[in-house]
This record gives sequence, C-alpha cells and structure tokens, in this order.
Amino acid sequence: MSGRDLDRREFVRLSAAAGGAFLLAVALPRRALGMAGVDERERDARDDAFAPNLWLKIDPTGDVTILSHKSEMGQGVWTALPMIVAEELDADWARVRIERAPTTADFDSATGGSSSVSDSWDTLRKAGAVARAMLVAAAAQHWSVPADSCTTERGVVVHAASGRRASYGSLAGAAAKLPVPDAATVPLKDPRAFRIVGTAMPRRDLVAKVTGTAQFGIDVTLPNMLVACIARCPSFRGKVVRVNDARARAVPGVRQVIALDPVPKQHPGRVAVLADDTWAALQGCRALDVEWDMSVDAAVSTDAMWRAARDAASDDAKALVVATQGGSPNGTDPGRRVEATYEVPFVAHACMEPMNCTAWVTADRAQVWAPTQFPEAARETVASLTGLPVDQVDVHVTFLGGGFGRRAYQDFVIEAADLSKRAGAPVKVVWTREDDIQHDLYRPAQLQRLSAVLDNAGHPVMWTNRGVGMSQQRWWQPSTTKPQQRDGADEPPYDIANYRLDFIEIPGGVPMGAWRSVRHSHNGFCIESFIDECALAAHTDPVAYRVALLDGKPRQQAVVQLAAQRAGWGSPMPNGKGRGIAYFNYGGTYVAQVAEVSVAGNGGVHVDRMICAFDCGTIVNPDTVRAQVESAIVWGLSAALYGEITITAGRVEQHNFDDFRVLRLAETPPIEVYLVRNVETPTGVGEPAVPPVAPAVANAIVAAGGRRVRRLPLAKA
Amino acid sequence: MVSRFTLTVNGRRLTVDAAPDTPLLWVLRDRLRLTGTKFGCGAGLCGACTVQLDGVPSRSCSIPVSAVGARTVVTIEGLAPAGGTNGQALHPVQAAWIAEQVPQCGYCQSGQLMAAAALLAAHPHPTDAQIDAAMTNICRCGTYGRIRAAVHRAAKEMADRPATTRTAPGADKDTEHRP
Repeated sequence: MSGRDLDRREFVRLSAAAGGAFLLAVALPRRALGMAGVDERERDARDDAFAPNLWLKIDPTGDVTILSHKSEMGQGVWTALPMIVAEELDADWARVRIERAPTTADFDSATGGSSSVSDSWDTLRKAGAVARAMLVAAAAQHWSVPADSCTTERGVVVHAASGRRASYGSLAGAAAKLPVPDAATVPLKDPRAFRIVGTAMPRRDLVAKVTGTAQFGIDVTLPNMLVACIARCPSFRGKVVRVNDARARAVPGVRQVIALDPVPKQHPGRVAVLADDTWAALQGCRALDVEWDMSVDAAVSTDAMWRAARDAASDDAKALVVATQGGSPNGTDPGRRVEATYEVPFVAHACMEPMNCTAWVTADRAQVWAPTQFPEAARETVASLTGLPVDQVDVHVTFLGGGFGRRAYQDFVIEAADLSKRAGAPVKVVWTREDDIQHDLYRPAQLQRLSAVLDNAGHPVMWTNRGVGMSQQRWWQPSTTKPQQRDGADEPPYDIANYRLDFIEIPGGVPMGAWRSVRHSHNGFCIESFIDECALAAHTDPVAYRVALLDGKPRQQAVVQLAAQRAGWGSPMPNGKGRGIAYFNYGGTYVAQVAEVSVAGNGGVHVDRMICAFDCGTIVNPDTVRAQVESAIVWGLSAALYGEITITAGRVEQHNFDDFRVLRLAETPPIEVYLVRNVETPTGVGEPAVPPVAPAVANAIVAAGGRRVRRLPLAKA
Repeated sequence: MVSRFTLTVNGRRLTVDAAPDTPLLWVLRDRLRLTGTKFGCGAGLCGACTVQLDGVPSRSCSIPVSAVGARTVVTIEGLAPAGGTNGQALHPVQAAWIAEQVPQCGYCQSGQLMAAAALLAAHPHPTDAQIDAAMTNICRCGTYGRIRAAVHRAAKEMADRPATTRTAPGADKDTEHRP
C-alpha cells in the first residue's frame, strides 16, 4: 500500500474536489470467486493484479467519507465494510458518511460467495489503521511529542500527559502531507477493544428503503431513454425463424423492433421491442408474431434427466473421482452398511427485482447502470461487446433488489449494451417475471448416492458420495475437462478414514449458475439427511452422533450443542411433532439448525420453529448477521418446501409466483438465531445458513413419525 | 386509443394521457416518476406494486388506469404524514421498519409498508392472524419475522401517540398535467 499506487486520474480529481482533505488510497487484493461463469484464464489474470481502489476521506470539517466497494443487495455490506475501516481509524461513527466506490478504479468489486467481509477484513483494517497512524503522527508533530504518547478516541487525537486534543478534521490537512507508512508496521487494535465492530449499528441504507427513494437498477431513467422488453425463445438455445412485427410496431409508443441472435451460454434468440415506456414495450412484445426454432433443445427435459441420472448412478466406469482416501475397511460387519439415494431439483432465484440494466453506448463511451454483483465483469463484458477500451466503459452500480448469485451473471448487461448500440439511444432493458423464471441460471439438479460402513461404535469408517447430474461447469466451458463441481462434497463432512467422492456427468443443456450457497445447498440436504440415517441405523441420538463425529473440533461441536440446547433437544414432544438437527461447515462458518415440525395424518408437513446456532468468527454487525441467518433460513425453506423447476423440450414449465411458489409471511415459522461471539477471523455470513435447512426439516419429519424424504421439494415428496 | 385521466396521487391532482389499459403501476413509475412503487410480477401475485386506493391496499400492476376513477391513490412517496415536507417525518410503520431493521435488499418494502399501513388503519391492534391474512406480499430476503414485529411495534407506537393527524396528505390543489 503506498501513495505511489494511486490512480493518477482519480487522485487528481478527488484531491481537487476535496480541498485540503485527507485522502488515502488502499490497494485491495483482487480475488476471483470460485464461481461458475468466470473463465479460468480470466481468473488467473486477475489474481496477480493489485490496484488502488478504496478511498477514505477526512474533511477539515471532521466528516469522514468511506467508500463501500461491494454491491449492496440486502446483505448489509453498505454499512458493514465501512464499520471495519471506522473501527481501526477510531472514527466517530456518527460522522462517517458512506459512498459507493466507483467502478472506474480497478478493484475487486465482485460480490458473492459470502466473501465481502472475510476477503476485505485485513485490508480494510489496515486502511483504517494507517490513516489513524498518520493522524496521530500529524498531531504528535504539531505538539512535538512522541507519537506513541498519543492515543485516539472517536475522531480525536489525545495527548493525555498534556491534556491536549485535536480533532481528525483539524489534522486532515497536515496528515495528508505525511508519507504513508508501511501498513505492516502499523499496529492493529486488539479485537477486545473494538467498539464499532461487534456493535449492532443501524443500517445506513434503510431510510431510503422505507421511503421509496432508494435507487434500484429498474428505477434508472435517462433523457430520451427507450425501454426494451424482450420476447425470448421459450427454449434455452432456440432461435428466431420468422418475425411479423406489424402489430407490435402499431402499438403507440413503440419505436423499434430488433431481432437478436442467440448468444452462446447467455441467451436464446429474441425479439426486442423498444418503446417510450415500459407498458408500450410490454404490449409490443405481446403483439409480436414470432416463429421459433426450438429443435436444438428438443431432448432437454427434467424427466429424461432423472431417468439418465438413475440409470448412470451405478456406472462406476463413468465416475470422475473428486477425492479419495484409504480403501475398504477390514473386519467390518457387512450388516452395518447404510445406503441411500437423494434427489434435488433445479431451482430458480426469483430475485424480487426482475433482471434489468440500462446502457448508453456511443462511439467513444459506454455507460451502464446495473444492479450487478460483478461490476468489473460487466465492464469487461461491455468493453468486449462494444469494442471500446475498458477505460471508456463506466459501470454505475445501483442498489440490487436481491442478488443471491443471479446478478453475478452478465446476460442482462449484454442485452442492454447490445440494444443501446443498435438503437443509437439509451436503453433500459426490463425483464418480466416470466422471463426471470424461465431464463434463469438454475441451481443444479443432482442425484446423490451415499453409502457408509459403520464400525462397532456406529461411526462411519467408509464413506462414499456420488453426485450424478448435468455439469454446471460444462454449461460455461463446453470443452472443460473438469465437469465435476462438488463444493461441500469435495471432502467428507466429518473425519472418516476411508472415503471416495465422485461425480458422473449426464448430458446437459440447462443453464446453471450460482444460487445462494451454490452446490452446498444440495450437498447439505443429501449429506446431513444421510448422517441422520447413519445415526438412526447406529441407534444413536442424532445430536450425540454428530458431536462424537466432531471430536476434537470444539467450535463445530459447540454450535451443534448450542442449537440442541436452545431447542430443548431431548424434551418430549406431542405425537405428530418432531425435531431434526443438521450441521454444516461452510468455508469455516459453522452452523447448526434444529427444525421442529408437525406431520399431519395425511402426511402434510408444517414447520413450526427453526433454531439456529451460528459461528462466523468475529462479527462485524451483529444485527445484520442475525438478519442474514433469518433470511437464509426463509430462503432454504422456500426451496425445501416448494422449489422446483421442471423442463420439457428445453422449456421451463413454471412462469411466475403462482407456479414457482416461495414462502410468504403466514407460512414462516418463528426463527431463533444464536450467534457465537469470539475473536476468530471472520468468515462468510450470507449463505452458510441455507444448506442445513432442508435436512433439518427432513430429519424432523422422521422424528415426528413421518417418512424419510429423499427428494425435494417436500411439498411434492 | 390514448385517453386523458385525472388522478389524485399523494394529494395532488394530475392528468395523464395513457392507453386505458395501462396499469396504474406504469403510470406511477414511468409517467409520474414515482419509482418507489415496484414491478415484481405483473400479475398481482407478489405485492411489490402495492399502493392504497382510498386506503385499500391494491396491486397497481393489475389495475388499469381507467379503473382508478375518483379513488385517491397513495404511494410510498405519500405515506409519511403531511407536513413531513423536510423529508424527515416518517409514518409510524416506516419508523417501526427502521427500528426493527426490517429491509434487506428493500425492493419489496414499499409494497409491504403500504399493506402494513392499511392493515393498521383498519385494525389498530392486529392479531398475528390478522397480520398473516393482510401481509401477503412476497419478500425473497425473508424479512417476514421482522415485518411481523414491526407491525406490532407500529401498532403500539400509534396507540401511544395517536395525536398526529394522518389524513390523506394534502388538499386538492391545482391539477397538473403530465404528458
């Protein structure tokens, strides 16, 4: 980190604007997320680049401006990331203003994989600490006292021995003239002294969000802008054969009709209607008469996929090993073998804000306003599409009306930029809900066959987990030699001496992508349902069983015990009610959930209560963590109870919230969240509470006297 | 096929020229630039577009502008009490939403707030069953538990401090024309 690394253009612009303010640029390491859709070469190219990107500004008035460099999609990073800077800066939080970092700087703005806090933690702490050290140095110089005799408190440098005090604002000008110290030499706070991090701070984006003034992508308006709605070929890769647009063009307000070819991996053939306003564009779409060629997708169906998966599941020759260790255990009673097969369907994201993007492409500049999780990728995509250099592409990130992995993709950005270029006007593309449900990048469907051999104590000494399904990786990289993606099933969930984890690929054709917790969501269901089956086969209490398997891992054991204790595990329940537990390790975030369910005589299931214990290391904003866990549980329940996308001849059979059902308020059980407080390195928050939801519910159904559910969603089981 | 409609929106009389079948949602968003009301499903299923028509929560994506008639329209922008011209005053449900830190992505919350305000106007002390019945809007962030808590909080707040007059904001003044 050094002043020399400043992007000159940004530095000059911001310095001029700031007038005597103290500015600090911080280099954030670029990190590629392990998300599908990011080309591996692109990923390698990113990893070795470092660039200045984050700005901390202190005005002479004492106002502190901290830029938030990740997309705010509900997870609270808008507030949480600046809290980390402010903590080490020892700022007065009430004087901190938050602004969105520009995407013109070359920083890692990619938001996903529950990584925002964990990836930024060290860097943001150093950013605050370095700035604090410079303010202290400025004060010490002014007072001619040693810097280490000064302390700070809430935006003030204090020299206790002489009783002198100087506000950060009064020191900003002098501090700005000092050399930036090497971050490695600047001490960080003892986490036990944190007073901002770990305190429930009200989110700074909520006033705008309760008054209707928060700007989402769909709210963007430009002068002379056209709104585009798009008739999409119903199948994933089909194309336009013939268009009769006479009736569409006759709709008042319709200005242009543009047929679009399929874009590999991104779009089927489409016909866009560009109009003065959204309703005219929608009416224009309805008035189109289009003949589609969907023959390429004729064989793509979920029924065929499940048949293929079931047929292939026993074909050892086709299995690609993901991880293996040991071999067949000797001397084990073959009667202690447990085996089960689970099936998890495709699921859509259904973000509340339908996909949209606004673009204005001219000969020498492209501007994009996008609710995107991956602004850098958006910038590169638009540069490539328009032929403009990257530094002539601006991406303005709005608030996101939900992300959940869906907005890590560029399909909606491509559409807006392409149409603006063709139309010669600013264009806002607005997807309908039907577009969203039918042209999503779905959470992969998968069949999993698990088997275990139990020792005399009932613990697994041999573990196999075979995933069978279409390859998400292959959708994005058709020539891939590594079609197996098994996050969460790429090592055994517990310490097991002998194991084999593998994958059998079946023919694809369905677009798949990141979906809150990605593949962990189906792995969580299969593995934690199966561990329960092992516990029951061993005639052992499922909580005690997991605690025993987590021997020597106190944090992991603690969440299981905490959830169980808070749920009153072991206390009697009325007939027809039961409790189920599930545990999950999501990249070092440990989470355990207990579900309480009622099973009616007709087999109907009601989820009565969810209890969650959650250990994500150091907690930045506790109420946000709590909110994210609540959110993940509702998300997980929607998928577990109702979520399923079915496909016939390459066409999704669901359309809208009537046939793609999600949880509503009346169905949402009370949710109790218990956060473990410690000073461990922070780990992910947004996703980890999703994977245990479905297995906790499925395990509870068995405890309530219902039958073992091995296929999701529960409502169709 | 374009007709002229006179609407009362957040206390202001406005005229717009639109096709009669244009949903109120798009008149609000695209013509009147009241973008706090959101498009979610276009089929009256999710409630993101909820506004109040004569105080009744209504899904504006499914109401043609020609069907609004003389009913007064209140959107999220008009929910705060009249007199909140400095932009600071909040309706008790808005204040409760902040106190309970309800919104996450926030996209559905305008509709949730309009539904909650209408519920409280009809039932100042709603039971959980009444909340279940009235709050049918979808939230994909899963803020439902906090919505329930915030409705109860707002009910208590309004009972404790009933004095503020929350009449429909503003009296009818000049009619503005929005082309």
